[in-house]
Amino acid sequence: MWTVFKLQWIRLFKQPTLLITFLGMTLVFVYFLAGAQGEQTITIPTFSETLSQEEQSDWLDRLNEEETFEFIESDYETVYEDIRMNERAFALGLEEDRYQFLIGREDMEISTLIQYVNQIYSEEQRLEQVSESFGIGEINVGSYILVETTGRTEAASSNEIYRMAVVVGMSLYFSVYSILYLMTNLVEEKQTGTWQRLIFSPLTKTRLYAGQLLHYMLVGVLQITLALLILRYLVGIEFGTNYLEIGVIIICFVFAIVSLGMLLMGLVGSPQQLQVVIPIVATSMAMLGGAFWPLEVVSNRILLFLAELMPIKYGIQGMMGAVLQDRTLSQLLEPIGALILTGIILMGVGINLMERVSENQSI
Amino acid sequence: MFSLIKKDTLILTRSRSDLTELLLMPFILIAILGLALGNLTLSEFTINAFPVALVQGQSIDRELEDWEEVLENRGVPDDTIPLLTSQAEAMAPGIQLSTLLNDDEVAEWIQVVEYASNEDALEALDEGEVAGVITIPDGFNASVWNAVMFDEDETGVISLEVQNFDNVTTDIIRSVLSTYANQFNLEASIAVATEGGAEASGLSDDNYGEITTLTAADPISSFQYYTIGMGVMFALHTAPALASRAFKEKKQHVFGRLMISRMSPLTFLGSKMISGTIITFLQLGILFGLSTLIFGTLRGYPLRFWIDLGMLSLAFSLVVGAITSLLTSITLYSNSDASSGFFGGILVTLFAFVGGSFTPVEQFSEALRSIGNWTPNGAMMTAYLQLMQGFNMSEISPLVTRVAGMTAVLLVISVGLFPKRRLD
Amino acid sequence: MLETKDLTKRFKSKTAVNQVNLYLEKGESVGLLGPNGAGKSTTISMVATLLPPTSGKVRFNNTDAWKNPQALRQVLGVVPQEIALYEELSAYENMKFFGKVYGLKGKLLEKRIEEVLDLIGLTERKKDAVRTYSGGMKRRINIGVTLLHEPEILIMDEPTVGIDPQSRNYILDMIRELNRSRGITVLYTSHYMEEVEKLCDRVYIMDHGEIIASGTNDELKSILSNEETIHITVQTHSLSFEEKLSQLPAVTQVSEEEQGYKVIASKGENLLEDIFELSRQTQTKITGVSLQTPSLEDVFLHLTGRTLRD
Ligand SMILES: Nc1ncnc2c1ncn2[C@@H]1O[C@H](COP(=O)(O)OP(=O)(O)O)[C@@H](O)[C@H]1O
Ligand SMILES: [Mg+2]
Repeated sequence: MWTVFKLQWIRLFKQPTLLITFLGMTLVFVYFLAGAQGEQTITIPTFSETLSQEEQSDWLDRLNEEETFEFIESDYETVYEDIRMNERAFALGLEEDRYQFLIGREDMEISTLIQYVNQIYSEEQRLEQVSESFGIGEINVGSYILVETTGRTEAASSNEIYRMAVVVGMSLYFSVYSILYLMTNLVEEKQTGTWQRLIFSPLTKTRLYAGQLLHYMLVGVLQITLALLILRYLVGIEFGTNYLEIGVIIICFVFAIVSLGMLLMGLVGSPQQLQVVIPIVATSMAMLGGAFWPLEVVSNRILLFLAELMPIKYGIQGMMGAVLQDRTLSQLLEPIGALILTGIILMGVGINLMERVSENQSI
Repeated sequence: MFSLIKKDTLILTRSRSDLTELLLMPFILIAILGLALGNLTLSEFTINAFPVALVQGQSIDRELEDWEEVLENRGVPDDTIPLLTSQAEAMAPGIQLSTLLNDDEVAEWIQVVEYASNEDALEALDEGEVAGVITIPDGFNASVWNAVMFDEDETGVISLEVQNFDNVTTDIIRSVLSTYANQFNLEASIAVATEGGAEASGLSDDNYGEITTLTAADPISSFQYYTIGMGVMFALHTAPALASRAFKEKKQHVFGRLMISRMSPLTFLGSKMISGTIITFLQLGILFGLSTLIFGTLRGYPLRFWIDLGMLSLAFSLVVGAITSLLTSITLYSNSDASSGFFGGILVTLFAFVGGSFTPVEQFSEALRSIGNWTPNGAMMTAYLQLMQGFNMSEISPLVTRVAGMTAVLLVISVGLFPKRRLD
Repeated sequence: MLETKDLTKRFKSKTAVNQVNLYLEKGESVGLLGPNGAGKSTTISMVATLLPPTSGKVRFNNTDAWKNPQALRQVLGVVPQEIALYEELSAYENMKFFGKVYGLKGKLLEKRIEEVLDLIGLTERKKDAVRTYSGGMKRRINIGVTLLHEPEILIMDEPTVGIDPQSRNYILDMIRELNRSRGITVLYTSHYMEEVEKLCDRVYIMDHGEIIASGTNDELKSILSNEETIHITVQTHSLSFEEKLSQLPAVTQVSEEEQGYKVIASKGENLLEDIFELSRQTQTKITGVSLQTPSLEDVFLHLTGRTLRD
């Protein structure tokens, strides 16, 4: 088993392009993800064609009183260009008593945003009415009632969490790709015949599989760890100190993915077909499992059911639990159990399929 | 040349499963998207009512009793005490809040469950039985009364405890509570400033604004956005998929045989480029066509739009063709399938991410989006979106020119890399 | 020591190997001869415990080899038809890996690698990636990897396909050496009859999944003992000449060759005279006639009516 395991590593190191791609892509990917970490609030450019500079900045101060959104000053031309180039989804036009949302494409945040702006406008409107009809000056709005929100676990704004989910989800998604692509090697070995050569050697099949699978698992674990290390030390994203929990989740997740890989290798015969199948499987799993958007926005029952079957969902859930909610292993039993269970089932089916294929493969 | 292209397409049509995967699988993703995001539109957002725990402090009667005492201690004349007390009762925010939470409109989202103690409620929260715990503490009303009537520096604090900040449910509860708090603050401030003169009126639900688009066309829906996003990503995946076939050909010595025959290497590369282009074009055509037929993604656009869409798709197909020929060159040069498989697959994923196929990246950083517009898929995605937003061709063409430039550069590199000597 | 009993393999509806019985005695060199698609690879895959048979048995030292494959695997060396190696690794690295798989380690492994590299003549190139080797060198290392654990039985699947004559002779000499002086039992598969004829004590001839003949070279050729093979070279081929030839009572088989015809006929009689007579009748100019002792190729032709290379 260790012989096979070691050999796969030697082979990996013999292909510098592959290795460099692997490391380089991880680095680049994480760098982009770090960019994703950059902004903590949603910024909205504002423009006005009727208000003076001063009036506009008054409005901005008023709008920026709450910290959920950040309104910044801009002008129509810039905004137009940004929306046209898909660099922004929307912008806000300010006027004395009206506002105007300029929208290029729908965005999940926009309905809350409109609500927020509309409320401020109606408040201002009302204040102005009252102060006019009573002939008194500006009315100061006191804060008699405050709403304080606390999470059960220490964490800041909801934005930060959403972004953390994306960072975690994307890292896992990326590792799914690497693992599955590397596992194509199993099919290739069957085609070149080295696999058969090992079958009729005294090496048992169990050891052969174990050596191979352990290799892929370790590569996967190393990649995720590497990504987290880069994020932690080069970008400065905190992942807390629950190393044990994080480690266990990563290992279980990678196990589930390697098992998924076995299933694919059993189902799909040629590396060329795998080229097409892998992206489809990886991407649909990520979409269904909530790596791209929060699952709460999905209301379709079928999809919600399917989400329950996706290992990546539990991977994200577990990582978030360990990183942000400070959960202990016993509190993380659900995602861990789900990952191990899916792993075992997929592995069983996958190995069976692989074996059925090899029953028809001579030298 | 033509025989080679014919061979390539023939091989693909023969291996029917490959072709089905290449052409139809993006459609599966679109279906997932359609079901997941199809109903996520600007105006309506459906979520089932979810339970929220409410923990009330003292009863209002106790608080009013205490309040009378407070008034006495302040030395308020006995005859005004009943007046102030009834005023206080009328504006008791605790009462208003629980009325509001049980209101029909709010009940569509939030289903209030009363808990006697904070501990029980928090336990329920941990068990996942409720989405949040709203606590109105002892003396909440009194704090507010003090602040409003005697201008004391006190604040009534409603506390909301949730499991996670990232839940949509959290956002909803929070927005209900803070809308109420804002409104109360506003009305109370007005009442104080006008000494009770202004009639308290609820904020009008009027819209003080409008939603407009840059052109007359409708904004892009999330569904349309992801359809384009997935479409360009999978079109890009065609390139490594075809390049790995080139490697297989080499393994089977087809390539060597072609090289010995009088065929020039450029013809070989050219045939890869053209088959890449044709397949991508078909792929996009099927995707847009079927998606419109089944989900109505692009329904209601005029013929002119479809012609422009065809032109954009052609430009995109060409750049994918160029990438195919580049990857073919690299594969043959490095003599390894790993490059086209791993490199291609992973690079495409990275490009798709930066280009905004998975999620609008400008939410993360604008720089990312600008970089994205320099990837072939990102640039084309923006161009498609522009077309759908109703921009005319002259405004779209800079991006298309950019992509055409990339096509040329990629082709030059791929010819430069192409192994000149016969390898085997 | 190794034998098969009614070995059969069906792929879906296609029967690739049908009721094959063969045996190997210790120290023997046995050939399995048959055209492409005859079922040779499938047969030896089953013998090598790679491919489970649909029915039938493989017996090793009188025990069922499929019940306890390890016993056989330990003493077996199989050379696959394709180059089954990690081509990005060097010859040395490949050998080290496969050697370890067979349980060799440390000094012994190093010593064996050295010996085998010397035997296959690749000592100088041992550090280069297999990918950079010539076709013949790849074939040699493909065999070399199998020899590391000093197998008692060596099964080879067309080990000389597609290489130059020099490498081929090298390989054939090597196999003969292994068989003769080290007593390794060899099962050699090929569709080149010269190889099998030169190398093997005993031969099985296979076609369409069945063994159609078996025996020593001489036994097989004696099938043709009352027949002889005549090669006729002619200036131009002539249909009527060919037709008339095959109608002669003594002739059993006529096949076209590059510059003439190959005729198999019963011995004796005045066959040559008849042939010249026919050539006059049909005005076919005969430029040469030669009589040939029969080869296994002829035996195959006789049995199936086809040549091996069809
Ligand atoms: N996996 C398989 N599925 C179906 N048919 C097969 C399979 N493997 C081999 N065959 C068929 O079995 C026959 C024997 O093949 P093989 O043993 O490889 O022949 P040989 O080695 O003598 O050239 C061939 O007709 C081949 O097409
Ligand atoms: Mg064969």
